[in-house]
Order: sequence, then C-alpha cells, then structure tokens
Amino acid sequence: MNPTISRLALRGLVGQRRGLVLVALPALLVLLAAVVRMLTGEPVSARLILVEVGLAVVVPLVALLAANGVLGPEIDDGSVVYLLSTPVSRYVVAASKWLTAAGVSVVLSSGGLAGAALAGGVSSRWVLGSAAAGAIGAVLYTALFTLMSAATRHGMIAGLVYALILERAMGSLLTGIRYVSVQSFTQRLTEPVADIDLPVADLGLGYAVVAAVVVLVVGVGAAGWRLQRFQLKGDE
Amino acid sequence: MTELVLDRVSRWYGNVVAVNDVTMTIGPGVTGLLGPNGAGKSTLISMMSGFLAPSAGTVRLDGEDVWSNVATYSRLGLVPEREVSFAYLTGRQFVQANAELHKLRDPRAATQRALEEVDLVEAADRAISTYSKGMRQRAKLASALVHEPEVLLLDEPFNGVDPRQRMHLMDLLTRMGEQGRTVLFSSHILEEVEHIARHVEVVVSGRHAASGDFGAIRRLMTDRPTHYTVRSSDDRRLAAALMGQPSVRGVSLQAPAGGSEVHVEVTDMGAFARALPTLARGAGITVRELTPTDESLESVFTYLVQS
Repeated sequence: MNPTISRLALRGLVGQRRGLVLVALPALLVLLAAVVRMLTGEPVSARLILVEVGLAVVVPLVALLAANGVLGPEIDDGSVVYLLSTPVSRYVVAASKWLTAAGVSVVLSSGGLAGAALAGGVSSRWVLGSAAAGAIGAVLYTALFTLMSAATRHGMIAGLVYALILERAMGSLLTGIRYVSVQSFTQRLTEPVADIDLPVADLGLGYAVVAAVVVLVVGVGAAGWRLQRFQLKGDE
Repeated sequence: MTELVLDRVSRWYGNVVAVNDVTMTIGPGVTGLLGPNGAGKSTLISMMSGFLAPSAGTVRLDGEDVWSNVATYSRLGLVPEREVSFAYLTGRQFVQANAELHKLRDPRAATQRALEEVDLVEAADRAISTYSKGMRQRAKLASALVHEPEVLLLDEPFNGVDPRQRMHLMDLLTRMGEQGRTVLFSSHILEEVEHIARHVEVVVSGRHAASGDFGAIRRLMTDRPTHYTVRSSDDRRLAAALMGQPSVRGVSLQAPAGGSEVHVEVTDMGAFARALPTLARGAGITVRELTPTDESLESVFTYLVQS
C-alpha cells in the first residue's frame, strides 16, 4: 500500500463530479426507503429495498464507479504514466488504488444500506446485516472492477454488463451463474455473520469463501500484472 | 557514463510498422530526435522509457533492459507529451507526489529545488488547471527532474509553448546537458533542434535516416536541390534564360490545363532568388508566380534518407 497513490486516487475520486454520483446512489436508496415507509405507513420490505435494490444494484454500481474512477480515466488518457514512471511496484499501485476504491465503497455502500434499513423502519438485525452485506459486496466488487478497469479501456461497460446483465438478468434464468456471481458470494458470506433472511442461492459456504478470496487475489493481482505490462502507445 | 542503447529495434502493430530496425546510442549531452509527424518518434521514446515492448531488438540502459523494469525509473525521468490529468493538484503537490513516489529522503526540499530549477516557484501553489501550456510543461519537467535522473526523455516538449517559455525550456535543457546528463528530446521542428542539440538522430517513416553532428545534417538539408514552379509572360524564353544560370540544375516546360509553367530545379536557393528578378527584367519578361513545390519538412527528410 502506497499512501501517496491512495491519497491521489482519493482526491481524484471525491473531488470530481463522480464523487457526487457516488454519494447520490446510496442517498437515493435511503430516500426510497423513507418514501416507501411514509406512503405505506409500515416498515419497508427489507428483501425488496435492501436486497433487490440495495445489494443487487446500488452496491455494484457504487463499486464500479469507485474502482473505475481510481484507474479508468488515467489509463484512458495515458496519464497513468506519471504514476508508473516511478520505482513503485505496479502491484503496489494496483493494490493502493483498489484499497482506496474499496474504502470509499465500503463507507458508502455499508452506510447507504444501513441508512436505508433505518429509514425503512426494519429491525436492527437488518440494519447490521445490510451494513455487513454492503461492506462485503463493496470489497469484492471493487477488486473485480479494478481488474476490469486495468484490463480494458471499456472497464465501465464491462462492469455494467457483468453486474446488470450477467448477474441480474441472466442470474435469475440460469442457476449456474451463482458460481461466478459476486452477488451470490456476498449473500452467502453475509448470512453466517448477520442473522438475516437473504435469498441465498444454493451455494456452499466453503465455495463462497474460496471464491471470494480468488476474486480478491486475482482481481488485484491481475490488475497489478496488467499495469506491469502497461504500454504507452504513441499518437503516431 | 550513462548510455541508452537501441539495438536493431523494431515495433509493429499488426501489419503496420511504426519503427523499423533502428540502432542508436544516446549518450551524455543533449540529443535531438528529429523527424516529421508520424515518423515514429513517440514510439521510440515509449520504448526508450520502458513503456513499450519492442517487437524485435533490445533497448538497454547501461546494459539493463528497460521494458517494464520499474527499477529504471530511479535513473530515468520522462516528460510525456500527454497532459497531466491531475489538474486539480497544485504544481507543488504534483511534483511532491512524484518525489514521495521516488522515496526521496526529503521530498519537500527536492520539490522546492525542482520547482526552482524550472522557474515555477511563483505559480507552484496554484492548481495546474490554471496553468498555461508552458507552465504545464515546466510542471511536468519539474516532476521528471525531482529525483535528479541521469537520463531525461522529453516527447515534443516545445509543442504549444510560447516563444519566451520555449527559450527558457531550451536554456534549461542545454544546462542539463552541460551537467553531463543524457537528455533526449523529440521534435519535428528543425530550428528547435538546431538551437540546443549538437547531436541529432533523424527518423523518417520509422527508419533511422541520419545520425550525427547537427552542423553536417543541416548542411545536407540546406544544400539539397529545391524545386520551384514559375509562371510568366513568356515561359519558353524564361526557361531558356534560366538554364544559363549556375544555380539552376534543370528546367522543364510544362503545359498543365489552361496554360504553361516552368519547373526549375535549384541547387543554390539564395543565388536563384537574387538572379531571377534581374534575369527576367533584362529579358523583358514579367514573372507572375513563383511557388516552391517541396518546402515541406517531409520532403527535406525524404531527401536526407536518399542522400
């Protein structure tokens, strides 16, 4: 972990318009929960607001914006060369960028989900559980999206395709998707640490633990490897 | 003595060859990498700075491969053509971040020294987004210099820089060359290179066209035959008169649609420019148009490759 790279990444993330969008997503979730509760006069459906909207949409989108924000634009315009033309290991660069994105995502996702649970008037178990799910999801998704941002100039599109098409749309049709779904790993890992009723897919806990470790190590490691091979192509 | 050695380096993208079998040695002092746009200069600098793998051949800094070798950057500074995307930082923050990444003992002092060297102290605490092009170039240069590298590579450092700042940058590079550093900068403008580089490497269409002392290459460039098209009140008589001039090597009478014109190949531009009006007036011919046909830099380089 390099504090200078993390500091620059954080400034690039929260000091730009992207920072506003990052905050807006969990804020909208809290607002949605509050409005639903006000209109119905009853606690919101935790499963609908927190799981179907919060965990399945807000958490991956926040992670995608954060992970792509710390690396994507610099790779796109080639200015990452200013960070890479130093004796800092490219793996350290990738890990520092990921840690920054993960830290921001954990705060926003966890806080957003817990805030929505509070605003929706659900039980305190759900408040803690959704905060834990938000944190676990944020850590795993940012690792995956950091890799996508390092590997392709279209990291944002690749992330959206993964989260919204592969996980959301196809996941409900093809049960096998759960084996490659960060959403499934997140829910399976959250269940034992928080006593809440999640629509956990038929996935072994051992598999989920191993899969989560693989996502973390391969995500950050491969992003470092990709930066190690970064090529500055001339405009010619 | 620090040497950057390119040995039979080629780089291609699919079927397109960007750099073709280039061998050169860059030693201490200022070297100009000269060539027209699209000649492969940026590709060469990317390979020299370890940011592009050669498709064939090797690029070594004192015997060590530079491609993807992060240890190289302790000894090498790079000023890319690309703009800094950290424009929300101040110049000082940008340079100091680089000093920290190089793990310098006193990043603050190193930053101050680098800013002084490029004369950016006054504006150092303003955001880079408020800088002029020349100031941005100096901020990039300060960042590349902060760890006092032995080798400095600059890609088109004078592009878009106003004349006063250009002079300042040129003086700075000259000074660094005199300090014994290996400085290489690319340019497509002859006069820029002439001003500061004694040694020149010329690349044209990805090939290494010429190498050596600037004076010799400059003489080749100015002595090359040049071509003009002349339209006059009597092209045939003018062609005959021009053929008698020692500065003229060849004359042809052409007849494009709707008229005629004289094509002249000139070996001494100055003598030709002085002789033409006198000769025309003496023969009672009115010169209506005089156009150089190969004044582009590309044609100068093409001549160099052929000579």
